[in-house]
This record gives sequence, structure tokens and C-alpha cells, in this order.
Amino acid sequence: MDAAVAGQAALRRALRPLTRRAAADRALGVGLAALAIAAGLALAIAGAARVRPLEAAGVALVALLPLGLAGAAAAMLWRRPTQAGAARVADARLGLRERLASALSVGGGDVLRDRLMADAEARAQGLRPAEVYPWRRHLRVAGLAAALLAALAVALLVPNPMDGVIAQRHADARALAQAAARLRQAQAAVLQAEKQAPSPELKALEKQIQDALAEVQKAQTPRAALEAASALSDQLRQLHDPSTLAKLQADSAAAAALAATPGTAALAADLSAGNSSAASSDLGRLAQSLAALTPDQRRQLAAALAQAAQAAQGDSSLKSSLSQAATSLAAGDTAGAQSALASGSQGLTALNAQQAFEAALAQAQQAAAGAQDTAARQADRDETASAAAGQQGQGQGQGQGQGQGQGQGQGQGQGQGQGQGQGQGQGQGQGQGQGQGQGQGQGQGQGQGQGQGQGQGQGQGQGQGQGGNGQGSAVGGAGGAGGAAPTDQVYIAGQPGAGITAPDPAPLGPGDPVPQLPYTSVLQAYQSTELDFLDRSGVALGDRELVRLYFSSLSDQGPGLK
Amino acid sequence: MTDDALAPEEFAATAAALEAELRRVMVGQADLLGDVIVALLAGGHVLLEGVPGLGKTVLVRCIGEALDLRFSRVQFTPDLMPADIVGTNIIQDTEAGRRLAYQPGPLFANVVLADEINRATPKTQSALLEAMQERRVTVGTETRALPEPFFVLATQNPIELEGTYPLPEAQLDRFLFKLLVPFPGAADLAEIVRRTTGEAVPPLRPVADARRMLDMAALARRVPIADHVVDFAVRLVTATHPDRSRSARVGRYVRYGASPRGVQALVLGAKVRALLDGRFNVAFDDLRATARPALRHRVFLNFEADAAGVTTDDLIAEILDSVVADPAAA
Repeated sequence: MDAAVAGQAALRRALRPLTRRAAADRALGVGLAALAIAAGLALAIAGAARVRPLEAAGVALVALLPLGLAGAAAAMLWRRPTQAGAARVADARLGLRERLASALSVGGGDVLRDRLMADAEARAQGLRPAEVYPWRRHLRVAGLAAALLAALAVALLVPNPMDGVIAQRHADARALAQAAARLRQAQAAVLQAEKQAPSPELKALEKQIQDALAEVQKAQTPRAALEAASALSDQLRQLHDPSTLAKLQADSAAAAALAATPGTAALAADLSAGNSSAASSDLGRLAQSLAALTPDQRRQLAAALAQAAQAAQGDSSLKSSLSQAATSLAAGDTAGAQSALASGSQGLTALNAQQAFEAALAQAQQAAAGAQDTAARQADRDETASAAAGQQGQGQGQGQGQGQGQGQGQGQGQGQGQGQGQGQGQGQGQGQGQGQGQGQGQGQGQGQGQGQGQGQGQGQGQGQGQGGNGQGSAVGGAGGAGGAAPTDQVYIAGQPGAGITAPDPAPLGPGDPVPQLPYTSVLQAYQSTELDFLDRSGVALGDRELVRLYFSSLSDQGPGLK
Repeated sequence: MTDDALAPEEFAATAAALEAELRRVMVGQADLLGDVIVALLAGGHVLLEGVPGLGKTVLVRCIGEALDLRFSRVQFTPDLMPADIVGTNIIQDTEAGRRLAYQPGPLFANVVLADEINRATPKTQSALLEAMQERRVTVGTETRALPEPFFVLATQNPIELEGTYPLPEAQLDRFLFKLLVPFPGAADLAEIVRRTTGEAVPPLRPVADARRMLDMAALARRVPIADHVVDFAVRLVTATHPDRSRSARVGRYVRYGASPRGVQALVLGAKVRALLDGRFNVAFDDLRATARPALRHRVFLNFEADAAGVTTDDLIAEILDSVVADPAAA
């Protein structure tokens, strides 16, 4: 039995090189198979990523290599080659008629088994592992892996059209986030104002901004966000009360009449500065001090109040209070004058609340305009890209439109004019002018200015967007669907074009004269260029007709319009 | 195994000598001779099937001559009775008076030629086949052992089946091998003519006695077989079963697959072949070479196979092609 054990041990020793070779062969085979599988999967992912935008494709491609190696290692550990297995393979490949595996399996112990063991050991000694496990067995898998890797390299090196789509998605997401951030800023400003001076109007304003913010956050595309922001802008525009400015101007005019009277100097200064809250307090204190005035002082005050009432034409409440106070004071009715002045004080308090609302509204409008602008720019880019893709699909280029918008505002104080289409802009102390579009504008115009808001005034701003005629080309070729539909409205970023060109208006400082052009001097050129553009572009027929009617209406108004 | 046991080389030499002696009479039929020798050395019985005149009886008679064993021949006919082959008690007059004495039948020999076994009635066939399995016979109340070694070499004619009694499946299973005796080729036929129409062939020289045959059978049984080789034999036999085979043709044409005796016959024959090949282990090829003679009479086809002309040899060949010997080494 000892001889049998020794014989089997000798056979096992003789088979060790074969077992090592089997392990190496398996490692190579599994590694190559894992490499081929990983390359095949990577190629499939890369191919799919060229058909559909797969944002995780890069991560998957990077992860495949370590995953493949881990899988190969797991496969190696799971089924490690055994000596008996290697012996069976050697029997099969070298035609040893199961000598090696049988000897390992049955061992020694009698004459036949001992003879078998000796026979197997002799054959194992002369065995060359390379003949049992030649590397060339893996040539096919290695060739397949190499081919797949080469194809993968080509797929990765050739630019992927879907990268642009993914970049566009990211840009869309950023634009949506920026638009939402702007609306959140506006909401915060309104909340702050509401905290300082609560009012139902501010609460309603905050609610509108909140709703718009929810819409923007829910929006999947910049166009949807643009629609939400535009709707908010429209709503905010309707909340604007033009009488506030008139009242402030009237109060300022009244201040000039009161400035010369000693007892009303502070009131005049606050009215002049537009500080309605302080002016309300001043008026209250003036009412309290009436009883202490001498008859001569009362006469002077009555005269000043009468002048101020006459100057405050735009603020009927103040005018009425001052006029009534002047009359009562002149008639020696101190109590009546006090009552009238108290009423005036209440009117100024209400005006102060109105001012606060307008200020918050202006901030909200600015934020909404910013969100609108952000979304519009991204929507422009998206649709330009879609149009290019659509044109590629048709195999011919239509060109890219060039246009320019110009915004002009008139007014005092500061001027930020933003025009869209054509409209009127208003300058206000808060420093924002905004055009209100009518009809269908084809271009976008924007004027920007900055000011400190010291001035007051009224003005009209006009902005016209004019799309110029552009020349461009697009590379034709096979392309897929996805371009802009003919009825889609395409926003095109303003570019200096062959049509009407005008430099961007320089920022205006306080007191700077606002550049003006006679309306009639540009109408003809605008109309010609615009109609020419319409004829060449893919604007819907209904929209073209609307623009024509608009220019016709302007022409009909004649030279009186400026 | 004792030291004085038969050496593998002696085994192969004796088998070669036996084959050489048989070839002095038999022309061609190399596979048939080889399979018969394998069956004898494995200690099994053989059913020879072939049309008349192909030398079946001559082959068996030559085996009887080439082995120093008692040989008997029984020509099976419909009127052959069991007592005619197993023996009977007869009345004998002795000095002590009359008494029953057992008169042994022709089965009491080492090599029995059961010629045209399918012509005997099932009763007589059954008596023979019981003796083949049990290696003893019972007459009256006494059971008597048959001499060892005990080989039955039966022949049957696949034609002229009128008035014959085909062997039932269970009795076919008792034969280790079923061998088909093919018609000789033209060259062999010419040699047969020369040998049988010329001078008489000198009597065959016995090359092994009973003791040697028993030792050889014992040695063959000691040949080691690895587990994965046994597994292949089992898978081969399993593949003959219609409900376990992956072959569509087996499922369609086979009524019953091979019995466990089939795998025993397969392995025993393979062990003998290993020794004859000078090896000390059973190889897959040994099993493949033994598959047809060991399984062809154990796989039973249905009527559809008969109608389609499908034979068991066809299906066994398909099974040998489809069953992978060693999946781990594939």
C-alpha cells in the first residue's frame, strides 16, 4: 500500500506542471473571454449611445473594464482547474486513453492498478504541457476581442451626434434652474416687503410668483419655462398702477409750493423726495400745530396750502385735503383744517403702501423678465439646433436669420428699455422700463440702462424688433426627424444683419438725455425690411398677415405719431 | 490478486493464440471473432445471428476445439423438450435393485452450441436461459451446478421465421453480446472456397483450459475503471431510453431502452478490450467498441422503426456520436 501511495504521489508530482499550465490557460481563456464580452457590451452601449442620448453611457463604459476583470477573477476562483481535470484534458488531447485520469482516480493497490500507475507516471514524465494547452487555442477569442476593441475605439473616436443632445439637455436644466432661481429671488423680495408692510396686494403678488415658480420647476423644456415666465410677466404688468407715479409727481409739485413756508419745509422736503411715509407724519404734525399758530401764520399757511393744492393736480386725494385745509384755515376753522390735514395724512400713508407695492412689483417684474430672458435664450438655442437637424434631414440649408432688436425708452430718471415687438415703455424711479408688445414680434430688442432713480417723469418707449435678412448655409445630409415643425415659432438670437442695424444703446446715467429718433424716419425702412424677411422666412401665414396689418395701422396714424 | 495470478501479458497472449487458432478455420469475420473472444473472456454468453451458411456453427465448433473444454451441441427443434437439454432421471437396474439415476443433458459442458435457438418452444428456451443465468439446473428435487466455465453460444436465423419462437426480451437480456454474422466479402469468399474444397484443415490445437479461462475472466474483472469512464457508460445506456435521451430519433423509435445488464455487459466487455489492448484501465474507446454487441439486443424498437427501416445499430451509432465522453475535457 505504501508503494501505491508513493506511486500516486509521484504521478501527482509529474502532473504539477500540467496543472500549472491548465491554470494559466484558464486564466488566459477567461480573461480573453471577459475582455471580449466587456468589449462587446461596450460596443453595444457605444452604438446605442449614438442612436439615443444615454447620459450614463460614459460611466457604463468606464465601469465595464473593472467589472469584466472582477468577473474573470470570480470565474477563476469559482472553477479552478484541478489536477484530475488537467489529467482528463491531457488524456483527451494526447490520446492517452484515459490513462492519467484513471490512475489518479483509482490509485494503486494491486498488480493491475500498480501497472496502471507506473504506465501513467511514465507518460506524465514525458508529457509536454504546451501540447495539452497550446496558446493558439485562444487565437479565435483573442481575435474576436481585438476586433471588438478596434470597433469600440472607432466608435469612441468618431464624434457622437448625441453628445450635442446631452449637452443641450444639461443646458436646458441649467437654464431652468437659473430661471427658477430668479423667480425665487423675486419671491424673497416680495416676502421681505410684505414683512415690512403687510398688504393683501403683496400677498397676492407672492402667490402669483409662487405659482409661476412651481410651473417653471415643473417645466421640462425651456419653452415651457418661457411660457410660465411670460405669463407671470403679463400678470405683473397688469398689476402695475400708473397713478402712483402721477401722484408722486403731483406731490413733488405740491412740495415746491410748500417749501417757502417755514412750518411746512420738512413736509415739502419729504414730499419732494417721494418719502410719503415721512410726509404723512409731517402732515399730521402740521395739523396738531395749527392751534398754536398766530393768525398771520395761519394766513400764510392757508395761502401755501392753496398753492400746493393747485399744484397737486395728479393726486386728487392730497389736492382735496390741502384745498379743504386751506379753505378752513382761511375761514378760521382750525378744527376743520386739522380734519382735512389728517385726511391728507391718511392719503399719503396709502400712497406709501402703494409705493412699496410698486417697488416690490418692479423687482418681481425684473426677476420675471430675467427668467424669461434666460429661458428664451435657451429655447432659441434648442430650436436653432433642432432646425439645423431638420435641415440636415432635408439635405439643404435654409440659412440662419439675422436680426436685431432695438429698444428705446423715453422718460426721466433711468431708462431701462426693453422692447419686444413694439410697445410702450415707462421709466420710473425704480428704474425699469419695459416694452409691452402688441402683435407678433419677430425680433427681440433690448435696451439697458442704469440709474439711481432720482428723477421722475413719464415717458414713452418704443421698441421694435427687426429680423434682418440673413444669409447662411447648412450642411445637407442624412438626418433624422426632430427639426422644428413649420408652424413652430423659432426664436433666433439677435445678430447684426443686413437689415436695420443700430448699435446697442449705451447705458444711460441720471439726467442723461435719452436718444430719440423720429418715428417716420425709421418706419419705412423697418416695414420694408420686416416684410421682406417675412416673405423669406417660414413664419406662419396668419402671423405674416398680422404684421402687415400692424405696419398698415402705423402708417395710417400719420406723422403725428412719434 | 495473488502473486501467482495470471499476468496481463499472458491474458493477451492467450487471447491472441485463441484468435490465431480460430483463424486457421475461419476466414475473415475479424470483428466477429474479436467480439466472440471478448465475450468468452468476460464469461458471457453470445447470441449469433445470421443467415444460414455463414459459419456460425463452424465458429462455435472451432471454439470448442481451440479450448480444452467440454463441448456439446444441441440442435433446437420444436419438439425439443427441457429434459432433452438439462438431463433427466432414468431407472437403472443395479445390484441393489432398481433406482432412479440422473442422466446429465448436453448443458453439462463448458461450451454449449445452441443451434437455431429460436426453433425450440418457449418452454425449452426458458430451461436453457435459466441455466445460462443461474449456471445450474434443477431436475426433480435436485439442483445441480453446471461446470465452469459455462458458455452458451446460441445461433438464430433472421429469416425463415415461420414456425419459430422469437426469444422474449427478458431472455435476450441474458446474453452478454448479440453478434451479427455478416456475409463475407468476395476475397473472403474465395478463400473460404479454397480452404473448404482442398485438403482438410488439421485439427485445432487447444490453447487454454478451463482453469486458464476462469483466471482470464477473473483478471478481466479486476481491470480498474475510473468514475468518469463509468459515468460515460451510464450515460450511453441512459441515452437508449426514449424518456431520457436527447435524441429525437430515440424518442421516436425506441420502445424500451437497455436494462442495467446492458451497462454491466458494456463495462465487462470494455475491460477485456483494455487488457487485449495492453492497457490496465478502461478507456472511452473500449466502451464505444463494445456498445453495439452489448446493447443491440437490449434496445427494443417500436413498429414505426420497423416500418422506417431503422435498426438498433443505427440508433446506437447516433447515441455514440451525440453523447460526449468527457464533458470536462471537451
